[in-house]
Amino acid sequence: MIQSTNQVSLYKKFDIKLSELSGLEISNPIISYENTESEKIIEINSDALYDINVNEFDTDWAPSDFNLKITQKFGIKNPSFLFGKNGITMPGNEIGVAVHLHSKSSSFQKNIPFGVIRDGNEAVELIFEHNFPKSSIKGRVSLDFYLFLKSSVNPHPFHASKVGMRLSKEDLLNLTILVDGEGSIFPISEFKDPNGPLWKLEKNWVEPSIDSFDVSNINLCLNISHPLFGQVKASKTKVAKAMMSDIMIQAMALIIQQVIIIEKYDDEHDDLATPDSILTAVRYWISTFEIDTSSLFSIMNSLRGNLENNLNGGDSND
Amino acid sequence: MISWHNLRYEFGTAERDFLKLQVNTTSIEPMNIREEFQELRLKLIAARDEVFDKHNLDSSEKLDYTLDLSFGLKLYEILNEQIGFTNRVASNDDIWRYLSICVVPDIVHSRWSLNEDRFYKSPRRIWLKTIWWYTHLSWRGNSCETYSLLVSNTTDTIQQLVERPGIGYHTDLYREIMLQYNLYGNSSRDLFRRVLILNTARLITNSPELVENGIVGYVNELFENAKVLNNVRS
Repeated sequence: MIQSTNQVSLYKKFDIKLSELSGLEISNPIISYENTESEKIIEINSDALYDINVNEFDTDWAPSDFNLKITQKFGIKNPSFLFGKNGITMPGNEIGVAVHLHSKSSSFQKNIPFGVIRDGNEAVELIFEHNFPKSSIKGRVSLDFYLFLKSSVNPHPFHASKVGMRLSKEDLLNLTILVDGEGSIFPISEFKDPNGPLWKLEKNWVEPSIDSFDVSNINLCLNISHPLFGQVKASKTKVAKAMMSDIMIQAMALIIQQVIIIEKYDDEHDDLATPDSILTAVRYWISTFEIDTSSLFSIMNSLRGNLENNLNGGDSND
Repeated sequence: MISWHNLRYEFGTAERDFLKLQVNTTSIEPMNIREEFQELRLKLIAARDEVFDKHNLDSSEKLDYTLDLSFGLKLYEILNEQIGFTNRVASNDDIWRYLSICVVPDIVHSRWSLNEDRFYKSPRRIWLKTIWWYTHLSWRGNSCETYSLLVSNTTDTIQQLVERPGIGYHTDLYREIMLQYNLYGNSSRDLFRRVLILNTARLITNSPELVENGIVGYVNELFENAKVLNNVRS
């Protein structure tokens, strides 16, 4: 879980300064799988090192057919800076390194410790290796690496005192693996009701910070029996585009109102929200389209003001 | 073997098929089941019959937790890794929607009538999914021990446990919570709810595997603290 930066810590934690002093080094992740006979390493483009869509780099790999092995190395050049009054624990104690594996779409989470740092001047190398068996993961998988207090025999009032406490202010590294390459699209489905409206919006989410922005949680349904359906869905005319953009704007306004005004989720601060959640989508809209969320009216008006031309394609050739 | 990974059964398709379901005196129609699922249906129907006979459910006015638990265990035994029912498959709502609407709609109907949330509409409340995960998150290695562990609970326990997936189920942790909850004889719903709420709050800063005495110690402390809160409140 990505650590929120707006928490007040009551004990000394590993921060950017200690990261520089201790010489933290983070290697590029290595991702591989067992092909028919050998282990195949997937070459990752340097632009996407820590947010990896596996199929972007290897179209043969499939989560239901192959395993996926992740190797991630860390180095600490000068561990002694982490120990003592100005460090995060006293000499004699042990700092552990662990990873929080979690995936809402794969329905699992767990913490795995994989290394120990002790006081001394010798550089330390910490290697995390994990194999996700075939057909065990789905959607997006997150790996959050952090430090924790592994053992404590020599306490200090300004240091973490309880074994297991997190010692890093922010995670050392947040690595995300996307194993089912689904894009981010507005969830739209169709229904048939000769007497029904042209469209309706169905809300099924429980927690917008966790529930994914997909058709099972929020669903813009277009009525294929409605006389205007053909125009809205298939037509390229200016009027049809305007109708579709109007539907989209109203749907987005309703979702933003529900999440921010009715359910009172924060639209600015970096509260925890999973990357593909409804709240993440809402925050993206608010920041990208500069939505004024102070009232129901301001949401609708600012959405219209900033998005209408965008959705209509901005052309004048029809 | 069923090719689970090729099954696509989107929300819209489920909604369309659900609206077509008609309840007759002895059956639900139409039942458009793919050939590869026929054998599974027979197994699930046999399991349902066994559960109904064992617990005399035919004469029950309302089916409740007894069916949730007993059929959940059967479902978990049948949908296992040997038939390719992996964690990835169990996390796919398309599968649960298809099983509910096309494979055993009659069994789901016997528990929830035509409650759309329980068939497909509410991802957290699809009945087959909830009873499978409830069993999985409480599993003690075999059905007999798991049954003994869970028999005193209620449908509310299922709801509390399964409808809080957070950022993903912590299986080892939940199994320990269910084990220790069983030790509190006349299990109070409030205690269980408090333990889960406390756990949600603590997971933000604690890693259960890494504290002293690991998950067992972490859960033990959760219950101790939740009991204190319970006493303070009462």
